[in-house]
Amino acid sequence: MKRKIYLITLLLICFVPSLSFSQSLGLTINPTSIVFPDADPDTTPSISAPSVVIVSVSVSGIPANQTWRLIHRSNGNLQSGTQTIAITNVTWTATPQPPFRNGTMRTTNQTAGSGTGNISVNGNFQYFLRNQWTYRPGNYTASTTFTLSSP
Amino acid sequence: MREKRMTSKNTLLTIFLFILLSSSFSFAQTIRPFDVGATINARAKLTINSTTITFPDANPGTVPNIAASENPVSVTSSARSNFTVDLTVLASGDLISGSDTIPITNITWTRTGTGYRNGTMNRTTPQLAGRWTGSGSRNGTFSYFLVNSWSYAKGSYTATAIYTLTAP
Repeated sequence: MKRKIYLITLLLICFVPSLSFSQSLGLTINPTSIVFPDADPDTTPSISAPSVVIVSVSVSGIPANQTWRLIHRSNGNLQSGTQTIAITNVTWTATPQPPFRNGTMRTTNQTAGSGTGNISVNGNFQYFLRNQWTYRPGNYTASTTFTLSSP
Repeated sequence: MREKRMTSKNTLLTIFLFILLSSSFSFAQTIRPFDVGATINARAKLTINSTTITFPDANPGTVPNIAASENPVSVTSSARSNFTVDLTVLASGDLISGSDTIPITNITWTRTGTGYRNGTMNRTTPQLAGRWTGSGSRNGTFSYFLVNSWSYAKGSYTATAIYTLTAP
C-alpha cells in the first residue's frame, strides 16, 4: 500500500506540477519613467512624452487557449504638493494592435494588452498629456503599474 | 494495522491537497512600476485681436463720447500661476499731433468678461485692466471711448499703450 502511495506521489510530482510550474510570465518596461515637458497649451494642446516606452511581454508554458492580460493602472492623479492634474489627461497609443491597445490612464484597471497562448512581443507605447492653461505650475508625479497576468 | 490505514489516508489527503495547491499555481502575475511626471512652468500669454484702434471725427455737441471703430476688442489673458495674475495698461504718452496734444486720460474703456476691469488710460501709472488668481485662460472684450471736446485742435493724433500680463 505504502509503495503504491509513493508511486502515485512520484507520478504526480513528475507530471501535475510540470503543467503548472513551467508557466512563465515576463514583463519589462523601458524606460521605467517618463516626464512630460512644459509647453504652451495653445501651440501644443497635447504634449508627447520625450521617448517611446517599450513594453516587453513574454508568456510561456500556457495552453494555446489560455488568456493573458496586461493591465495598466495609476495609483492616483498627477500630484505636486496640494495641486493635482487628473490622471485621465494622460493617454497612450500602443503598437502593434493586437495584442496591445490604446488607452487612458485611470485609477482603475485598464487593459493595455491581451491575448491567448504563448507570446513574446515588444509593444511601443507613446504617452500624451492633454495640455491646459488651468494647470498650476509645479513638478507633478504619479505612480502607475503594469501587471501581466494569466489567466 | 489501524494506524497504518490512518497514515495511508493522511498521505492520500496530502497528495490531494498538493494537487489542489499545484492547480492554484496556474494563476500567475508580474507587476512592474512605471512613474509618470509632468513639468508645468509659470507662463503668461496675452492676445488682443486688434493692435490698433481709431476714433473717428464727430460733432462734440451730438457725440460727447466717441466709440473706437474696432469696438469691442477681444482679449484673452492666459496664465499659469499659483499667485495673482494682473493685466495692466500704460500709455507711453498723450495723444499727439505735431505740437498739439489731447490728454490720454480722455480715453476710457469698458469691459466684458470675468476679472476684467473698466478703466481710464494713464501715461504715468499702469492701470489695472484685469486681475485673477491662479491658472486659466480668460476671455473678455474692451470697448474704448474718447471724450469729445470742441477744444481739440484739428489733426491726426496717435499714442501707444502697452498691455502687460504678469503671472508670477
